[in-house]
This record gives sequence, structure tokens and C-alpha cells, in this order.
Amino acid sequence: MGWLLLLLFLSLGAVLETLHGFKVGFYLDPAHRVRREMWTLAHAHGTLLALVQIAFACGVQRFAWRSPGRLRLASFLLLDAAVLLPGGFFLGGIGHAEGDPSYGVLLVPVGATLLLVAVALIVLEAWRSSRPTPEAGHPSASKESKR
Amino acid sequence: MVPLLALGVLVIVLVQCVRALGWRNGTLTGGILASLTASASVWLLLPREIGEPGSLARVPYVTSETCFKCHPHHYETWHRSFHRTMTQEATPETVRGDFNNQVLVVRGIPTTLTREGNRFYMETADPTWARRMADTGKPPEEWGPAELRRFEVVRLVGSHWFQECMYRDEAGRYWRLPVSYHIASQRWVHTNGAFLAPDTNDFWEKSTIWNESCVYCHNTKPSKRPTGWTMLKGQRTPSGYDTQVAELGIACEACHGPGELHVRVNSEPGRRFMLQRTGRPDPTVINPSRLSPQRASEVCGHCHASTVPRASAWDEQHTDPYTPGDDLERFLFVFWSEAEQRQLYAEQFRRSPPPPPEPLDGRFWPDGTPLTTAVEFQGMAMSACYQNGQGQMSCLTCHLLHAEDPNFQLGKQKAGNEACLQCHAEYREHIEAHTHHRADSPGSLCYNCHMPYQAYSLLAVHRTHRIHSPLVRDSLVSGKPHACNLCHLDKTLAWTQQHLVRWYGHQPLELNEEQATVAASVLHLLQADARSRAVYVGAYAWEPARQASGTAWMPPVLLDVMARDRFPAVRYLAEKALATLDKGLVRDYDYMAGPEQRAAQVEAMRLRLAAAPGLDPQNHPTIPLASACRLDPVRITELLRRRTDPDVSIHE
Repeated sequence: MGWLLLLLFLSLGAVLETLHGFKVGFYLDPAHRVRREMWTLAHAHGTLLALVQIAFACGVQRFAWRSPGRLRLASFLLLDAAVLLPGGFFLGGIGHAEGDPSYGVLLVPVGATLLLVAVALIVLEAWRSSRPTPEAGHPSASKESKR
Repeated sequence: MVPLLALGVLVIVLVQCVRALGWRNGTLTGGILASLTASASVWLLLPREIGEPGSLARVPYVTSETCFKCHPHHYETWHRSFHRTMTQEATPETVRGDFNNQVLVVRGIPTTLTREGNRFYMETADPTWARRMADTGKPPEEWGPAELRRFEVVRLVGSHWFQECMYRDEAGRYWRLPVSYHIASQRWVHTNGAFLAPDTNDFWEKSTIWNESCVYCHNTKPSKRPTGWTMLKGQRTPSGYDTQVAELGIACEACHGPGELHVRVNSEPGRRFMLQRTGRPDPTVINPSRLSPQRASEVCGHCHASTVPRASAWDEQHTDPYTPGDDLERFLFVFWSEAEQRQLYAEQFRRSPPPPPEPLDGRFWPDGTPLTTAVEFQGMAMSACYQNGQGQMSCLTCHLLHAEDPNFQLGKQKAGNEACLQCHAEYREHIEAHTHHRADSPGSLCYNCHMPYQAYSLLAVHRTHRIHSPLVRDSLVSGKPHACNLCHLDKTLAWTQQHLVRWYGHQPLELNEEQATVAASVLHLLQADARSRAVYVGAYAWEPARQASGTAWMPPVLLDVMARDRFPAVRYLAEKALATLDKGLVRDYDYMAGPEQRAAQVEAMRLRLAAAPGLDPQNHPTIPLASACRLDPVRITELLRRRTDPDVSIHE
């Protein structure tokens, strides 16, 4: 999915470059400054979050996930964020007012919240995996294993 | 649509949490996440109290820099407008004139423009000495060595046509210095020749005080604030000022009203989203395009109309009480003649009797049509299209204040016939049948006949804003140049009448022998007052008129004006027209020079013209020519006998 998103948002970048190349008014006119800013943010966030997806997929085996449920949730939420954040920015640039994006931008804080939760889950798991295993006599690990 | 999308997202998140963490933990986690985001979204989407439109008179001003944060595009279009730069402090970025040791000599008196670092100076005739010398009655050429005084230029007015320089005295008064920079010709000029007024020996005659009147139309929310009073010519007059403005120049709040409330309530995003969603107007700010045509036009008319303050509505600080959206006439009387202005002023400020009338009105033609710029509101109000503000037409029908092009600030396609065709669509397919001119020619441009160049200001002629049909009767009654003859400069008024009778069925009027035999433009230049002469001579430089009339016969006419006319602005316009024919010819001409000096300069030009291939007077029967460089002296003397040339001043 990460590669697919990377393809999608890199393509968006190419489209934006094309709009620049042909000096397309609805993207470059000063009156559409918000659109230009929103779509640039959509491209940047989408590409970055796609890379995060790929990095997550590569690194997932390195963590000693003690809860497969949390792993799945983190994966779901990262994916949601990778769609909602750039999607919100993109929609915010359609039908915008002069100084404000349109309603679509409301998806951005939703995506950002989910991203924060996902990253918090990963950080938590990374922290826990860095601690000694139950075999090494760590009390919390033995408690977890008893469950 | 958006709430549905948000709901969909929340359901998906909930399902994902359940799938990942099981029914119990998933519902709990998903529920918390969904609730958090849902409540934030609901808060943003909750209906807000928008309020009802009301007066913004007591709201504080915030300046354009604040507006930029949310309205960058409107800010940019305003920022490149000439409204913004109407009044500026003198800095290297704002000064347009050349202060690099430039010297302008006017009638023997030198004015030197210099710069020291970021400060600008003008050394010119000392005003006390100049007034004393003027009182001797001698022309400035005979005043002897000038007593000079150095002034620091601290403030500038204008940036489109002219840039006037001002210095500040110890009493807080900003005085207009006698030399200004003419941006159009990129040269320094004397203000005595910049306004339409007769020759004068008073070097400082046009030096007015900015705080007195300029401040009102050239700034945002001005407050004159006199600091002391003195008696001058029997009138109580301020002796000093602590003048304050919300912002120098004409900024956002001059048209949109004070912005503090608008900024404060809209710092809350939910309100902005609600306004965006509902499309409702925001009552905390004035959008002239949402006002009635009359109120919208009054926003412009606040400065683009000639007015007298309604004394009872103004405070002691002389703070401009008008706020955009208000009824303009609650605070200002709109007047329609200078006689009415004097009367109103005397009534409002208890100055009796009113000053005696000037021989000629310097703002209006005798039929009430505005004669100068900054009176456009009255011009439009006289037009049938405006329908006393009850119709659909307003200033914004043609003008767009946030247009890309700051010149004239016309809306898209409004520089051409689309401006008129948006209401008069019946002419779109049959324009030639109406105009009797080729569709792609200047004769088929609505403006040229219905809004001709009948106004004068700042060494240029401008289109009248009174939209009207050109009638010979109007020209006969008012002396106002006829639109047809402003293009057909070599044709008589009788020729014009003949065509109007044939094409439009106008009733023919009786014309005298001169109106039947001498080109109307030449007749006016020889016989009419300075207002008509300025407008007509301005047309000689207008390319469509030159194409319609030919130019071979023009030099003798223009040379006559350059030698004879006693209004320097008229001479300047003649020089400008002649320069477009032969720039080298006018190289040594000084339109500000005294009569003898000018006569010599013109004679030299005539000699140079006489050497060029000749012009056959027979080919131009409506022009009283004697040769290629001279008008027929006998005919001219005869025509000049009926010349009417009283004093007049156009202070724009």
C-alpha cells in the first residue's frame, strides 16, 4: 500500500509541475494562492506518509510486537492518515475562499490525530521492545507472558 | 457532503479499531478517537450568530497590513493601485522624481532638487521674498537674484499623474512646494502651470496646506485636529495641526469600513466556515458590491464627488464622520456648481456674506456636467443610466477596484463596448447601423461619443463620467466641446449638426456664420474660455482624432496657442500635441516662459516649419490658414474680437 501511495502522490507532484510548466491560471493565479498552498501540502504530506508506510513495513519485523492487535491498529491508522491528511489538503484547495481552505480541510486534523495515535503506538512498542525480554528477568515482561 | 464524509471516516476508524483490538477494546479506543474528532468537527460546524448589518462608525481601524493576512490577493491588487500611493512619506522607495542635483528654472528663478542619503531637499524661492516681489507688480524675470530657501521634502501626494512634494512646518502644517514631478512626461514642473489657471507672478500661488483639504480624500479616516486658531482675512483659521489618519493613502478601510470587529470575530474559524458555507454577507465589514447601487456609488463619491461638510455632523477635531455604507448626505452636501459650494460653505460655517462668485465655474460646465476629475460621482449621477440610484448602475458596473491593471481600474472587458452592451445588448449585432462608423473603428466605441474627453485635470484631458448623447444644443448652451468635433477636429459644428440630423433625426438649430465655416476646435481655441481650450487642445494629441482629422494643418494652430494663450496648462497641452508631430521642433519651447520669450521661441519654430514642404491652405477650407506655419492674421483678428477669456481656476 505504501508503494501505491508513493506512486499516487509522486504523480500528483508531476501534475503540479505540469501546471507550473503550462502556467495554468487556476493553480498559479494570485487569487488561488490557497489552492496552490493546499495542493503543495497534499503532495508533500502524501509522499512523506507513503515513505513512512514503507518504512513501517520494513521495520515492523524488528519490533518485538507483544500485541498483534496494536500492530494492526497502528498499520490501519498510518494508512488512514496517509489518505486523510493529503486528501484533506487536496479537497481544501477546491472551492476555497480567499484566505481559507474549503471544508475538505477538516479531514486534516482527523488524519493528524490518527497519525499521532499511530506513531504513539509505534513509539510505545519500540520502547517496550528495547527493554529486556521476560527470559532476562524483566518483571513487566514476565507479567505480560503470564497473561 | 462534508459531514457525510467525516461520518464515513469515523465509522471506518471504529471498524478498524474493533478489527485490531477486538470488540471491547476496539469499541473503547475507536469510540474515544471518533468522539474526539467528531466533537471537534461538530464544534466547527455549529451555527454561529452572524449578526445583522449595522453602523460600523464606532469600530476602530486596523490598517491594511492586518487585512493582508486573510485577503492576500485583494491586498496585492490594492497594493499596486494608485489609491495606496496617494499619500506617502518621502523615502527612496516612494519618491518618483529625480533629486540628483536637478535644476528647474522658471521665469528666471531656479529650483534645485537634491538628495542627502535618504533625505530629499528642494531649494527654491523664499515664499516671503517671492510674495513681496510679486506685490511689486514686476514679472519674475525682473526680480533680480532670487532669495532662496531650502526645504526638506517629507511627504508626497500622488503617484499616477503627478507627485507633489510637501514640507512640514513647526506648526504641523504640510505645505505643497511650488515644484512637482510630472510622472507622465518625467520632468519637474511648476505647480502654477500644472493646474488650469492663468499666468501669475505669484511663485507660491498654488502652495496650499495639505492638512486643510487634501487630507480628506487622499487618506483613510482623517482627522484634521487643529491645535490653535488665528484670524486671517477676517476668518477664524487654524494656526497649526496635529493631523492624524488611520492610514496614509486610500487603504482597504477607506472603502470597506473599519476592520477591528471584522478581524476579531473572524479569528474564530467556525464563523469563517459558516460564512463560507452559507454565502451570507458578513455584517462586520462593508463589501461595496453587496450594497445598493446608490450606497455603493457613494463609497466612491465620498472622494470622487465635490462636497461641503454638513457642519452639524462633524466633531471639533474635524474627523471625517463618513463610514462606508452610510448615507453620504448625512455628512456631506453634494454640490453642483461652485456658486452653490460657496453658498453652502457660508451657511455651514457662518461665513457671510459668501465670497463673490468667480467669473467662471472651475468644476462644472454650465449645463452641470463635471468639468474636472474627482467629480465623477456627479457625472454618473446626471446620467440616465444611473436612474437616481434606483436602477442597476453604479460605479462598479464598469470599475473593479481590485483589477489587475491599476490604470483606470476597469473590470474585465469594460475598457471596450462590453461596458455598455451589458445593458444595451440590442446594439451588439448592429453597432454600425447605430454609429455609422466601421465597427472596428474608434467611431464605434461607445465611450467616444457618450463619454468623450470633456474633463481636464493635471495636464491631461479625461473622459467625462456623464453618460449622455452628444447634442449640438448642449455645446451651444454650455460651450462644452461636442464629442464629434473632439474627434473630427477639422470639421465645423454645422458639419456635425448636418450628420446628426441625417443619422438620428435631431432638430437642426440655427448656427452663425463662423460655426458654419470654421472648424469647431479652431473656433474654440480662438474664442472660447480656457476650459474649452484645454479640452480641445488636449484632443490634438489624441490618436483617433489625428487619424480622423489629419495632422498637416495642426502646427500653425498649435503654434498660435503656444504663443498666445495666457493659461500655461493650455500651452503645455499644445506643446505636447505638437511634440507628437515633431519632437525636435518643441525642444527649446518653455510653456512657463513670459509672453515675449514665448513669442520668440514660437517664431523660431515657425521659421523651421516654413523651411519644410509646404501646406496648401486651399485643402483645408475650415482652417483659417495663411501658410504652413501661420494662421491668417486678418481672419484671426476678426475671430479674436469675439473671444471670451475670463479667469478660471481648476484646482485638480
